[in-house]
Parts: sequence; C-alpha cells; structure tokens
Amino acid sequence: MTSRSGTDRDWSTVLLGAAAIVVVAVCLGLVANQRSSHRLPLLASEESLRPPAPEAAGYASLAEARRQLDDPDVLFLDARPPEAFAAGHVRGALSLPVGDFEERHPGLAEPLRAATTLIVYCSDIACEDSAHLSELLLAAGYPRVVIMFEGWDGWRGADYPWTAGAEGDA
Amino acid sequence: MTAFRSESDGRAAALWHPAGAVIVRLLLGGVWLYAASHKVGHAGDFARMVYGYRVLHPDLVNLAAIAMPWMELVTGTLLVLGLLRRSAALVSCGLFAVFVVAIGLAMARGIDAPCGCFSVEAAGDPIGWFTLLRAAALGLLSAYLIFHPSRVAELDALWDRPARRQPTPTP
Repeated sequence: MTSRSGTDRDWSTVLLGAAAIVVVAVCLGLVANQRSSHRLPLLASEESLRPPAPEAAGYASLAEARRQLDDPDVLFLDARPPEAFAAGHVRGALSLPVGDFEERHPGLAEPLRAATTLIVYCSDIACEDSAHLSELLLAAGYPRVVIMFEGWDGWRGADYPWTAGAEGDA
Repeated sequence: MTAFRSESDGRAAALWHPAGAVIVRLLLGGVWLYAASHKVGHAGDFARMVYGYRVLHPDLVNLAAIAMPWMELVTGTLLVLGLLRRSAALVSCGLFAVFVVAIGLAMARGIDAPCGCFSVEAAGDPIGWFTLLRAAALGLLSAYLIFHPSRVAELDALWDRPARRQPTPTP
C-alpha cells in the first residue's frame, strides 16, 4: 500500500521530470538553432515569417491590401484552385490558379494590363502559390506584383470584404 | 453481484495489463519521433505553420517553432526507451492538449491551413475534425500512460528495483 506522502512524492517526481524534459528540450532547440545555417531570430518579425518570393515582388500586409481594395488601378488575383475561389475570395478578385497559368493567363490579359498593381494571394501564410504566381507574372512582364502574404485565411479572419461564387473566374 | 464484480475486475485487469503500457508507450513514442523527424532542422517552415494558427503573438512564433520539435524528439525518445515514462507521458499529454486547443480555435475561426502535425509542407493534413480528434485520442492515450502502474520493458525499472526491495525483517 502506498502511503499518502509516498503518492505525493511520486507526483512531485513526475512533475519535476516533466519540467526537466521541457527545459532540456528547449535548451537543445536553442543550441541547434544557434548552430543552424538557417538560424531563426528568437523573436519573430512579420518579415521573417513571409514565404520566400522573387526579389522583384513586393509584400503587402492585410491592412495595406485592404486600403487598396477600392483602387481601380489595383487588381487582386487569387492563386488558389478554382473550388477554393468559388467557396470564397477577396471581393473583386480574379481567379488565376498557379497551376493553370499558361492556360488562363491569355484570357485575363486585358484586366491584368489595365491594372498598375497586381496583388496576389493564396490560402495562408504557409502556402507558396502566391510566390510562384508572382514569379510567373513578373516573367510575363507585369512590373508591379505584390504578395498579400497572410492570404485568404488572414483576409477572412480580419472580416474584410469578400464574396463567394465563380463569377470572377476567368 | 459477485459475477458483476468479477466482470468489472476483469475489465480493469485488461485495461491495466502490462502489455497495454508497452504498446501505448511505443505507439506514442513512434508518433512523436515521426513528427519530430519532419520538423527538426526546418524551424523556418514550421514557424510559418505555427503562425498560420494565429494563436500565438507573432513575436513568440519562432520560439515555439524552435522548441516544440525538440520537445517532441526528447519526449518520443524517452517514451520509446521507457525512461522517465510518466513524466514523458505528462509532457506528451500537455502537448496534445495544446494542439487540441490550437486546432479547435483555428477551426472556430474558419482557418483552413495545414496542421503542421507530421509535415512542414503546405500539402500536409489540413486543420479539421480529423486532426482534432486524432490529437484528442493521442492525448487520452498519454493520460493512460501517466497512470499505468506497469514497469515492464522500461529502463525506469532499473531505478525502481532497489527502492522496491522489501526491507529484511529484523529478528
């Protein structure tokens, strides 16, 4: 029979062991990060969390993108698959899935040429379709391409204007 | 009454069978080692996954992305070895509880991002009911392991033996 104080002692040992595991793991993580060639700053900045993109492309935060939503010279492009676009997209955006660029791009040439700034986005900060689309657009000769790196999830989370349906689809 | 008691005793005996602890320990240890193998060395990619949940302040995202894969690695290693098993199970339970809360909050906000559970690729399992229930189930298994009394096939048993030896009665 385990005595009460024995049980308490058991739990103290378990808790102490758990704390030791956490401390050791954090220390190992910090040392590994310090020695890594891709070392992360301990305190993240929004910049450090952006997906890699071509140098010529710019970045826009959600608020910056929102400010340009009603600018007639700015066009939003949705790089996600058509089904995701139909389920919900930034109001006024056109669908240009990165996988269908060659096929769909000619049909969108007119609105693309008319805009001075193209704001591209995909699903979230972890997706890379917007970076790939910006690369294709820059290579196709569009001079000002900006990535809204927080993507559709960020836009939806901020409750900015959006709409559903495939009407903006090319 | 006696039959009922013996049936429930049988069920309890099956639940706390030593094999149960070994199977669950190896399963959880394997899960953590598999998860960590995709994240250790990819802290930058994992940080974007963590940020995608929008649960942590952006300043703290990198710290979480640096520490969490190593917690998974250390916890998985200890569980597989059966070393500090109850403490490792407690950490495991805590990590799964954090995942359940994070996934639940992300779902409530309608976030459709990859869960970052076993991959840092955007094509990994998306946040959703499946990932939520999986984390909850693994959390329950971790809790089971905290309370399981068996020491079969564990390195912890080496520590226990001298302590558990009965004192020789003095004449």
